[in-house]
Amino acid sequence: MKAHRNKILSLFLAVLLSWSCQEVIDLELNEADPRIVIEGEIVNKNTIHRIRISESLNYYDTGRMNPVSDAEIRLLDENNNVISGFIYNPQDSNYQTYDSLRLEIGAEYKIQIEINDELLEAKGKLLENATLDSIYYLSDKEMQALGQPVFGEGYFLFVDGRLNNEGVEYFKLDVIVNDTLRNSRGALSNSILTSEFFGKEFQALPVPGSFEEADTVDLELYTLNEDVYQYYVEFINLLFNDGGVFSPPPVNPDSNIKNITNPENEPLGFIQFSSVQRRSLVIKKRD
Amino acid sequence: MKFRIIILLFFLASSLHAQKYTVSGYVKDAGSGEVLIGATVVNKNKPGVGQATNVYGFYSFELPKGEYTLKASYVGFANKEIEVNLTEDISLNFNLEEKASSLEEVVVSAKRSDENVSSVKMSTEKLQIERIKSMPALFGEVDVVKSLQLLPGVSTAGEGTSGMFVRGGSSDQNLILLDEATVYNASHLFGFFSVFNPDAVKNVEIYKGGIPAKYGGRISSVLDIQMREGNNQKFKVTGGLGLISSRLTAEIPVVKDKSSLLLSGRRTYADEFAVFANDENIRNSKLYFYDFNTKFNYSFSDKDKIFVSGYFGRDFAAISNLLGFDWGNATFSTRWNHLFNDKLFLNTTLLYSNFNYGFDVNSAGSGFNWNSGLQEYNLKLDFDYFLNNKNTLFFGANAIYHVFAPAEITSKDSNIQDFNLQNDYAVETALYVSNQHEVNDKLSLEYGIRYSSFAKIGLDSVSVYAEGQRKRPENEIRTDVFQSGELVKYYGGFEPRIGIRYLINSKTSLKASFNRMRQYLQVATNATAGFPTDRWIPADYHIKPVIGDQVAFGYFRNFKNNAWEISVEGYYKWLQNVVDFLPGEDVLLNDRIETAVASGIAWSYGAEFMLRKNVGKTTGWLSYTLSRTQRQIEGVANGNPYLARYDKPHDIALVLSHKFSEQLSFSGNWVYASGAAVTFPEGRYIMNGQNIPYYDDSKRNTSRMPDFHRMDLGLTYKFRDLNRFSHDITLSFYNVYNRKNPFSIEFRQVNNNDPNFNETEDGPITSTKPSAVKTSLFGIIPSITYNFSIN
Repeated sequence: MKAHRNKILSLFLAVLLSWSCQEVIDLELNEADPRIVIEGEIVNKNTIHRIRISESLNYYDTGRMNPVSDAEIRLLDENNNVISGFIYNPQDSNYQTYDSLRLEIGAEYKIQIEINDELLEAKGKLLENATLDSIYYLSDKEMQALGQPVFGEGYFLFVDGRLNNEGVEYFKLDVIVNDTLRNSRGALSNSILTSEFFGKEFQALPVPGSFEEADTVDLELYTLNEDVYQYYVEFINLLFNDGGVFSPPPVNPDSNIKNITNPENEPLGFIQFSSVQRRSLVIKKRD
Repeated sequence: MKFRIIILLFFLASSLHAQKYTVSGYVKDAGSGEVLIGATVVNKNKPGVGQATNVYGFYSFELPKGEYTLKASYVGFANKEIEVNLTEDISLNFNLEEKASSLEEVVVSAKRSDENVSSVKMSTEKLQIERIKSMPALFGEVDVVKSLQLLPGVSTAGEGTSGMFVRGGSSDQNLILLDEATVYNASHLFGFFSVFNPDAVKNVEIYKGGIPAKYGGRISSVLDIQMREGNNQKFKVTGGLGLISSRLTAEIPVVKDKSSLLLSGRRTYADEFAVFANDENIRNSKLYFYDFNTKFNYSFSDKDKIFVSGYFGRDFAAISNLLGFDWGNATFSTRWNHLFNDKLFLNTTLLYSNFNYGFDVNSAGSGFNWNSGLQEYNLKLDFDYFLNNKNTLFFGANAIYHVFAPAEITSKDSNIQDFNLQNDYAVETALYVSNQHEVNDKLSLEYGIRYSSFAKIGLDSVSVYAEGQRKRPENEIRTDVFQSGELVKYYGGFEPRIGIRYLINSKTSLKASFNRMRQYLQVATNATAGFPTDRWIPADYHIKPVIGDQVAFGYFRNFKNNAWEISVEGYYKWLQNVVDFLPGEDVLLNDRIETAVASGIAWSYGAEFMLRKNVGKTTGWLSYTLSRTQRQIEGVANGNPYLARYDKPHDIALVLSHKFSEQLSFSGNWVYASGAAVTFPEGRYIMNGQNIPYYDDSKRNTSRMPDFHRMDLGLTYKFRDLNRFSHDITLSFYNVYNRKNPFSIEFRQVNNNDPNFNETEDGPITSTKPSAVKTSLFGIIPSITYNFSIN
């Protein structure tokens, strides 16, 4: 819902910007001590699970973030039994589990990270994913023939299915076209979904964006815990924050990783606990 | 008990003056029949005895038996004198003729020439609508609110925006009245134009402090705008063609001398040019507004008059046929003036005010309609009792029924489910009494008290949380359900007001004032500029009303026969129960607002300097404001005090107007303000493939945008009248030296050092750098406006 407000605001700003000019300016900024940045994904499928730990950069630094290689990481179940440790892989600067692990849907897991003599902890539940009954597409001409509004040309994907958990559910839908993840800030904004205003069943739910003939489209649907969904919402708000009078004061997204030793010193980033499903299709020309 | 004593004292005072007779009546414009607000009627032989007319043009004062010459005067009008032999109470109306003044006599003020010094009022500004119309404006669109932003103590959120921030108050803390009806969202096009059509406006007055007891409900200021009544002498049409809009106003005498009708409308058409835009999104979009004002009045006699007025305005924005958004205000005022006798004047007002917005989303599979609105039904009784020449008593009562319907979402046969946020209902009431007391030639007082109350009533369901725990859904211990009309929460309290003026001599005075205000409604927004979807939230079980206290002191002096005015005012304002968003929270569709906001305190202080010239070929003012505005709210910036974004330590405005001849006039503004207080990043990191800045969450608004300054110039040429047709043309230049003032500073990756780089059009990416990108909205903008009038 807020997205529609933002679209109108974007339109208005686009009109304003037609009168405006933009320029890169030199602005002196504070240079704070580096902060710990953590990004991780724990999923149900049988895979090696990875977590990346780095140090933040000064704003104008153009290099990559320095990896942190001396952390100790472990995966625990809901009874605090260690399931696996993580080892640092200097090839990709990630920490990874020793082996592939299939995790259980419906179970709660915990990640503990010991770094700089502080204990960090994140936990989450692998929720049952939605059931996707069918995925199909219509061309812009077919949609016009059906009396549906169309913005742009190409093919548009729709999904039928149902939700499987009680209460509001949260998802992230990654759209991969010809092996390339759509990851612009607009695409990220469209990928975060909530069932707050939806029923348990959905039909002709649009997949964001349009597609071209012969595109191979992979859809990856991740379940999200509410705290990670909220993280994404705040992260996207910050991505779109232009520092103007229509934007709220910028604040860091609230991480789901808590510092047990020193609660004031929360890291940046998050660890996502998800069940995931992948569907693929190729767009074929319609007569 | 207190009230009884006060009233008894007044009756005693009244009996001491029983040997006097009362002179009362109205002062009107002879040409149009419109009453003149603030005109003075005095005993010419003893000018200290007399009265200024109230907003309905009525005056009343006492004189002993005898022969007198009474003089009525009003700026821009020829004085009129009438000789009377006073042997009984008399009713005496003055019809003043507009004067064709010489250039040296041009007066641009809507107040008495010595009012700056003599009036007990302080922190109050009146702007003559003709002065507002003469100022150069963005796109040539004359804007009442933007003109007020040039006054000391009144600032803006950003370039071009019409929200007002008065003495450190936020934009929802201004009571904006149009013919006494509350205007909840006073802006068009997301704040870039205000809703007041200058052709329909008669009088503009803003109270920044020393607010009289008759006003309440907002803590920072009162902007009181009266619509014109329309000419009851002859048919008149006025209009204008501008760069982005046109206006047309008709004034129709329904019954000569008794009744008139005003119809006034305007519409923007800038979006019609969108078809020529390069950007497809803009080409397929709509963005426009229109508004319409009407007013009818009928004078049954000098004792009974009615006024019916209304405003209706609407904005539309649409992206192709996928998404539509419209919003607007409607106000309706019915007023009945009744004169019980020559001393007691009653205005009974019945008001309706409505603000609503709606989304229409046609996206396949997720289409819906979304409607939101609020209504106010308001009954007011305002008495003016002209007790004697030393005491004028104002008292009255007010009852408002509020309905808030924050969201109703209706599915368009899509996956979206119907959804309603719970409506809120409340009754706000107030009683007030105040006295304007001329103690002696030196000392004048205006003191009063207002008792306001607010009852949040059912239907309602209230979440009750565990004691000492943060208000979160997981900490809810029960839900209390309240039936329709059942009391949910009651708030109330006294609001004392006092103003003091000590006249050092006829040219110099000292003034002081104190006012306490209570505000029961707030806008829940975490942005600085208003947006139509901002949600008004009433005080309720969890959210307390805001209480604001302000003390102000001032030195006032006039020079050269009141042609020059100087004033220096200092103020300190402190607020309790101010709410702000907790980081990351949103209230748009939140049915537990209390979980998303936290409350705290705010304070602001400052000094305002003003030098003004009201008479002559060259008129205008120079103002300087030195101020500071801070807040402290638990849960925001780790509970540390922080500056409001609109905190501007230095704010200067120079407003000038020069009349070269009867035909040609010039106007110019220059403004300077410290840059807005903002939060800049401390570093950046990469997450989800996105570069993102990070901030020190224990601080807010510790950095500053670059300073803002701009000059606007305008030239008006008035053509020679052709029979009953008169017309003029105005050429204006906004931002004449093309200063690139910052509207925003965004922190993002920039390719090839070009913030507008487009890979498809501009070639390959050769560099990518994290950058600070400044957006400047308006460079130099010339505009031309043609105005006409047919009498």
